Amino acid sequence: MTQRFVVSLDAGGTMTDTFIVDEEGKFGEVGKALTNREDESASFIESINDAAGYLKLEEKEILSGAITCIYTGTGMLNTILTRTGLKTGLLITKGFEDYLILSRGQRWLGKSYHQIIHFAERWKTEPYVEKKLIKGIGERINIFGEVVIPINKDEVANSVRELMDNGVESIGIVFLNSHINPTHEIEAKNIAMEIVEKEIPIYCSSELMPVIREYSRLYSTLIQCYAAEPVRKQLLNIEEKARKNGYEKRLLTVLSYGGLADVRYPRMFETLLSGPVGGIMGSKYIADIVGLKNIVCCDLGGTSFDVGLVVEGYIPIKREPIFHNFMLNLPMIDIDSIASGTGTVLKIDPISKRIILGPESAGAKVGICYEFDRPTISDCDLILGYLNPDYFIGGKIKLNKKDSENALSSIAEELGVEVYDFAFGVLELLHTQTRGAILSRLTGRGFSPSEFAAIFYGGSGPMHLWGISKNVPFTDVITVPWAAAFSAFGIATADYLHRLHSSTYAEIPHNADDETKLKAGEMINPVWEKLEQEAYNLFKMEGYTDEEVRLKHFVYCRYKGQLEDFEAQTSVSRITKPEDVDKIIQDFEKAYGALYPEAMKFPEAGYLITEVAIAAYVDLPKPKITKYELEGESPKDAYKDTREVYFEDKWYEFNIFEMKELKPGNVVVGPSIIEHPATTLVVPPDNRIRMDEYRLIHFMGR
Amino acid sequence: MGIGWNGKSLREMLDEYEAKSESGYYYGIEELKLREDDFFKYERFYYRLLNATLEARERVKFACASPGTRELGELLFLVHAPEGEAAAISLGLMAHVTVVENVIKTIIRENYEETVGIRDGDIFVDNDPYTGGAHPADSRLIVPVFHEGELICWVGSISHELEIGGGTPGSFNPFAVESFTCGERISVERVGEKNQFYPWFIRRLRRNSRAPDLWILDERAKLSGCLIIKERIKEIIEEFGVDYFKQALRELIEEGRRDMEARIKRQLVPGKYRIPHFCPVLYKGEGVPPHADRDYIIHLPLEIEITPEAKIIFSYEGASRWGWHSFNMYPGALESALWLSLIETLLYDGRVTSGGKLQTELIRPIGSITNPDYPYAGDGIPWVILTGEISMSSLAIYLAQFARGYIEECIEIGANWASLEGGGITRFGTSFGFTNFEFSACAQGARPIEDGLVAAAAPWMPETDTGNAEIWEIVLNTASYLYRGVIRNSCGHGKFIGGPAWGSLWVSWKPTVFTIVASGSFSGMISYQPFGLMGGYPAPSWSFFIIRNPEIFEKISNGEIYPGIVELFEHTKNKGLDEEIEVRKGFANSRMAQDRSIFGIIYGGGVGYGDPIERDPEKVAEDVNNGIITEEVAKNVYGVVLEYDESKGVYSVNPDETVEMRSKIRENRKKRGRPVKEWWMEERKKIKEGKLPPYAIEMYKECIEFSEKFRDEFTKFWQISEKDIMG
Repeated sequence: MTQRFVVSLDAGGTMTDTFIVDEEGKFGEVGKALTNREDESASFIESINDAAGYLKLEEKEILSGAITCIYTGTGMLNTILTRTGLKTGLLITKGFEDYLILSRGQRWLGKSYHQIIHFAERWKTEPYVEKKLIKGIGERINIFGEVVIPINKDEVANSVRELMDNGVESIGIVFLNSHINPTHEIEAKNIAMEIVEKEIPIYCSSELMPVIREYSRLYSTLIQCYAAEPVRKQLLNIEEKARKNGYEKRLLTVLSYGGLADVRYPRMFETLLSGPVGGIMGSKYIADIVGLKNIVCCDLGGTSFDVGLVVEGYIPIKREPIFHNFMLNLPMIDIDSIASGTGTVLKIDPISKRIILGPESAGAKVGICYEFDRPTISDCDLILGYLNPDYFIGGKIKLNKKDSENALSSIAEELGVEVYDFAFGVLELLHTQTRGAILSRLTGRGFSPSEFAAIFYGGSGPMHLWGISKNVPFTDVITVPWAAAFSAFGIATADYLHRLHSSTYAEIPHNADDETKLKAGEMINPVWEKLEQEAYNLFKMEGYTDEEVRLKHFVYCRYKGQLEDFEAQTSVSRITKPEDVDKIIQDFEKAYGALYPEAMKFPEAGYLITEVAIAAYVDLPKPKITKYELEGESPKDAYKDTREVYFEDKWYEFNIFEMKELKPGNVVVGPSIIEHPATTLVVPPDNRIRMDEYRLIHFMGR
Repeated sequence: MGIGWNGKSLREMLDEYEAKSESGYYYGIEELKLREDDFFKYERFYYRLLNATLEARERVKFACASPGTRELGELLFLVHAPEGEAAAISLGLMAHVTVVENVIKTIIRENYEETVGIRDGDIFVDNDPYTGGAHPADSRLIVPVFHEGELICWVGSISHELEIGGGTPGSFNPFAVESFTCGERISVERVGEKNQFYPWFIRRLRRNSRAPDLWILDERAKLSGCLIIKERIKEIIEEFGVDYFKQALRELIEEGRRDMEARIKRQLVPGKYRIPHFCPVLYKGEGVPPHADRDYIIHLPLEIEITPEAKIIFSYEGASRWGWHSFNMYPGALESALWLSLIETLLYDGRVTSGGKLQTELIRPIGSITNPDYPYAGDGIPWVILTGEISMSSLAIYLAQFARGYIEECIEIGANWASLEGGGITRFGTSFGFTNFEFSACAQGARPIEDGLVAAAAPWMPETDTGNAEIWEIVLNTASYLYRGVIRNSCGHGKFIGGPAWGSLWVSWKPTVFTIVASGSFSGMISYQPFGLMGGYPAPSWSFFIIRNPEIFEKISNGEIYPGIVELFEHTKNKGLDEEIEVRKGFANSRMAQDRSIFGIIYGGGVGYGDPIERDPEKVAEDVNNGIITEEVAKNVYGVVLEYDESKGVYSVNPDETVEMRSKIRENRKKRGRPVKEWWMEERKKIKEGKLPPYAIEMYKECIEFSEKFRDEFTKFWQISEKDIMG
């Protein structure tokens, strides 16, 4: 009988990782291949082949037995960054043709505190659409949804013809307040569709993301127009390659809010920021299995440190993420990212003699010890003995410890400290910065770390979890042997999910009477109904029946007068009685109260629900985290050697273990280092780790 | 026993601080012991404190009601030592870094500690410029932080409110000639205790603003932010210990001073830098009281001396007297403005604390506009001049950096702003009022290495932002945007061009009552100062206009007129409809907008750098293709002759004709040029014969009468007697 698998691939800028899980939930080693930027279908097969090798199988055996194959790549990101998308034309409300030049004036987005306050450090992003391909259309709808200027249909027709004459390959339509009244955008689209002779993508902002803030809607629409189809083509090409190798289903990809979608999914722009979401999904999956409700997900890689949360089993979403110096209207798993990783460059301020970390990173060039020209955190890790120069990527890359020592010594000398104290101090700064990101993430949302467990992953997560988690009262600190490919694992655990949002306007004054409450229902119920229908249609297109779809309902509510609304999941799916509105308000107050002190509440102002959303799910087979029999505590089978390692202020003899050889139940007491070809786990003298029955590694005090 | 550190009263602490700081070191701290003992621990401490302020701002701005705070982040949080100096400062409204400390010092000097008592959970609010701030629109909320009975520090916050009552809707009240009509005034008051506002404080805000919910929610947000920081401070004290906390606060502030000192020494050439600065006041016929009903010019010359000891002395000797206008500056205003320009150009990568201020000195002649000796002078919108001061002082730093070779750092902080305010009654019968802060993205001046940017500068805060039109329309309520875009030919021309101006156009739609007020930097009348850099051109200043004839809107609606501002002006001019459009290159008081009235603002451009005829011709062609300048300007100003390719719809350079045109421009310049001595003689003659423009004569007379130093310098330079000018 053919074996059955879930196959997930995470294609990063450098490596493509493959994670294969069999029907029993078992998974072996991670498959790796260099990402082929020219033809990702080649590295797709190569990576699967590598993973299959560990199972003593061929890639065809894996693909023909695959229940699901999920692929997340860098296609959309690269298409935008390299400006290789479709030639796009834009129809915009007349008078707003310079919007991409003005760019909301946000010349500082995504930069650090010190960069932002440096006035000379301002820059612009070149617009994605040439000026001559931006056409103003006479029309205006006001905030009440009333037509102030009727749409000029001739202008639409003429503009579309001009755009076609100029050879555009896609058209975006963005009119002001179309989230309230989309009729002008729809009319323009209909006219455009009649005129264009060949089939090209034409998107209205109100069909992609009908929510307030025209700038973010504009950028989302342009990303969709510019990059969706080239990326879809690439993904279909990969699907084709998979089919040739025996795969029978549709290829799935990952959405920025953590769902999966068929690569034919219309709103492809929602895949743009899906890079770091795999880790969060993987964390949630593990948390569900071992019964943890609240988790901080910590991903430390070479260039950045990403922090996300799982709260009460739910992953929070943000709706206006920053990308490439602008804001998008795009639901995305709420992740904070800071430019601190093991590739982060360190330097000394010539005036104050302060150590400055980043924001530049050596990326794949590691540090002075490999191919970079300036010292990095990795150089510190290396000279302190945490990194094994002969076992980096399983020994495929040799690191030069002497070069690191020389470079760091000259800086330490300048500061008048010993080089090893200096290197250790640098690590402490990295730990402070990253810990700060975790704490501000938690406390910024009204949570205490004492209610959360932390999961560390990414290539460098296990190496630094001891320092980052130091003195933070997490309920548990966890990592896994497959931490370096955790993202690919996470993708395999993702839900088949679509989130759909739409604006509405339901006002509920303070002490509202029953009639008013029921009126709010009249505003909300039809929108929920419309979104549900849309979700059913999307899933139908992907081969699922309405019965297979599960729904969750959300409202976005604010105190009247506020400009921001706050997401609240509600158990109410239709308002049929006044008490349903009371329940929704209660759900909002609970969500709001978790974020702000009591002084920030303002119920006397009344409530306004401006947007509602649904999350629609279909169940998919998922990997199972196998529960193993516990073996003895002694890790003797994994023991390799000893090594001199500098910790705090002196040298210790650390025991060295091989992670692959650790057994469930084993306990490793510090000072120890547990090595894996793709990562290193450091256990300081006052700590120990224990591998549990799920092969999760718990880090704890000695 | 006092509530300060170690049983001292706050007054004793302030006296001690002032005495010890005479040493030139903040609090007499000559060694940074904590830093020297363990600089990693010390860094960790600082970032914990800084992160607390950043977290508070990021967290609460989402709960604010005014677009100023939520959309643009016009909000600031700080941690202050007990005597008032700030040790950690968030991003945001950084132009107000020093104003909270003035409020704290007032609380201390007026001995609130004994008279009313200061307790954990107390809330103080102040928006009175007389006690420290720039103008009443900036509301400061301060809470004390106690640890085991000691007031360990203060947490402060500031936001700009969009509607604060007063004579005209909005927050600036530019026609208020005395403080009494500048809007609701809260003068260092306790407005709550036990972390809750008094109900009568909320009622007061509700009764004194046209858009009270915006103000109330902003105050609630600031309180929440301060409480968040208080929690973090408790955690920091738990981790580091209270003694470490106290000493580290002091060392951080002193370190800020040292960082500033080091940067001045390294980047600036010592010497005196003088920048002229004028501001016309156009009040005549604008409905102000009779004693203020005139047009005149305010003189505000800036001299910056950079001493070899790395001090920066700002002097306003020669400034006009305070006046019957809304631009008078009480102590906190100038101090904050000038300090911000130093943070953004020098201290940005250092320790941003109040310490650096100790390297500066500010000379504000008593009785002048920079230091009124009348406590009720109009102070609604001193930013008309203050933003200019940020720009002027950044220009002085620019010259000092340029002389030292730091050309990549040279930048004039663009401050060419204008504001549309308004309010009235909506068609639903509710009141509304607003300040449209979309101008928080002014044009940036050109730099010695590159062009300036459109919508890239806000001299009062680093995070520039126009916000979304859809959000502004919520508070504008009765007005809809028709245009938001770049204005052709509005950049300061040069080898590198200044950022072009942009502007907005609105139509009012079925209002019940809707009045509009316009104001902006330098009153708008004259070219934006500074007047171009190293041969570059100045940029046009801002202007406001209104068209009440609904037929013009109908023409826009039916497509006959493009709703661009330039096109609208061209149309009215070409059709002989000039009288239909009221253009105001200066403040406009309470213009009534009817149904389908059109009104707009041009926000002004950035200054150019270097000679325009040295600009790369290809870049000039690109400017024309991008709609930044016209073909005519390319030819006449840049000497670049372009050819239009109809099939491609683009302009390209004709190299030969360009060479010829540029040579012609040079020849013409030679013909126009004359020796400085000749120019000086002519000007001197004008002065002696009383032939200067009347406004200029009046301004100089006033300044000569007021300032001996100015009189001596003026008469010496022009080699005239006092009588020659005074008559």
